[in-house]
Amino acid sequence: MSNFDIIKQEWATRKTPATSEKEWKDILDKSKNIHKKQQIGQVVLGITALVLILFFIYVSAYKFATVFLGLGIMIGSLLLRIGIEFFAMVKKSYLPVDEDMKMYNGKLIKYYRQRKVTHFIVTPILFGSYIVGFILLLPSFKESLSSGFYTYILISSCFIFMALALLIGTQIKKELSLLRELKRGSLEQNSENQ
Amino acid sequence: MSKEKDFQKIYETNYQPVMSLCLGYVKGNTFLAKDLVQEVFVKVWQHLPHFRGQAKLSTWIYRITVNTCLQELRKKKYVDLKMDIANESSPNISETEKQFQQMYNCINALPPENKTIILLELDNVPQQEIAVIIGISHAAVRTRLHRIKEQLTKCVNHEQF
Repeated sequence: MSNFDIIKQEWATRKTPATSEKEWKDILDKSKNIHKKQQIGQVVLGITALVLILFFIYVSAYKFATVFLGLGIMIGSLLLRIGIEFFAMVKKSYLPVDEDMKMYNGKLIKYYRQRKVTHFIVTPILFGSYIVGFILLLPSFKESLSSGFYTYILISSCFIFMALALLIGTQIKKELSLLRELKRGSLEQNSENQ
Repeated sequence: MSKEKDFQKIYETNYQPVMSLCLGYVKGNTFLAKDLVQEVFVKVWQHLPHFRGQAKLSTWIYRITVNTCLQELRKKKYVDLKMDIANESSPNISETEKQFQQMYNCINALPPENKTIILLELDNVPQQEIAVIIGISHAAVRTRLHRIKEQLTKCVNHEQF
C-alpha cells in the first residue's frame, strides 16, 4: 500500500455534516428570493432613471442652455453608468457555471478583460463628464443660492466626488485582482502541462 | 410541484459528494462548506432546465460545484476572514483533526486545477469523469494525478513541494 493510499483511506474517515429535512426547501426559497431581489433591482433602476428624467423636465432645464447642458451631461452619464453596470451584472449571471472548469475559467477571464475597457476607458470618461456637468451648473448655483450655501455645495461636492472616485477605484481594484488570480491559475496549469 | 420533488431527490442524492468536495476547498470548515453547498444547489436549481443530459447528472453537478467553490475562494477576504475566526475558535483540536488540517493545508497549497483533481480523486470520482469536469483529456488527468499524489504525500509527510 502506497503512502497516498493511506492518505486516501484516512480521507474516507472524515465526517461530513448530514443534511436536514428542510434544507432543500431553504434552497428553493433562497432561489426565489434571488429572483425577487433581481426584479426589485430592475424596478429601482427604472424608477431612478424615471425620477432623474422627470427632475430634468421639472426644473425646466431646457429653458437655460448652460443648465440644460450641465444637468443633461450629469444625468446622462449617471444613467449610462447605471446601465453599463446593470448589463454587466446580467451578463455575468448568464455565464455557464455548468461548463467544464477550463471553459468556464476562460469565459470568466474574457468577461473581466472586457470589464477592463469599462474601467479604464468608459468609467473615467463618464466620471469626467459628470464633473464637467457639475461645473457647468456652478454659475447658475452662484446666481440663485446664498453665498454660504453655494460654498457648502462646492466643498461637499468635492468630498462626494472623492468618495465616489474611491468607491469606484476599490471596485475596480477588486475586479482586477480577480482577473490576476484567474490568469495566474491558468498560467500555472499551462506551465504544468508543458 | 414535480419539479420540486425531482430537485429534492437530486439534492438528497448529491448532497454528500458536494459537501465533501466543498469541505476540501475550505480546509474542512463546516460553516463555510455549508454556505458553499447552498450556493451550489441554488445554481443547480437555476440551471436544471438547461441540463441536456450530455454528461451524467453527477458530473454536471460536480462541474457546478467546482466552478462555484473556486469562484467563492477567489474572494480572498471572504475565505481568509471567516477561516481565521473559525480557526481561532477551536483551540482544543484532536490529533485526528490536526492530521486532517494538515491534509487540507497541503491540498490548498496546490494550484486550483490540481487542487480540484486531487479532491475529486480522494472522493473516488473516476478519472474519466474528472477529465470531463476539468475539461482536459483522460491521459492528462492520469499524468497529472501521478505528480500531484507525489507532491501531496511529500507535503503530508512534512516535506516541501
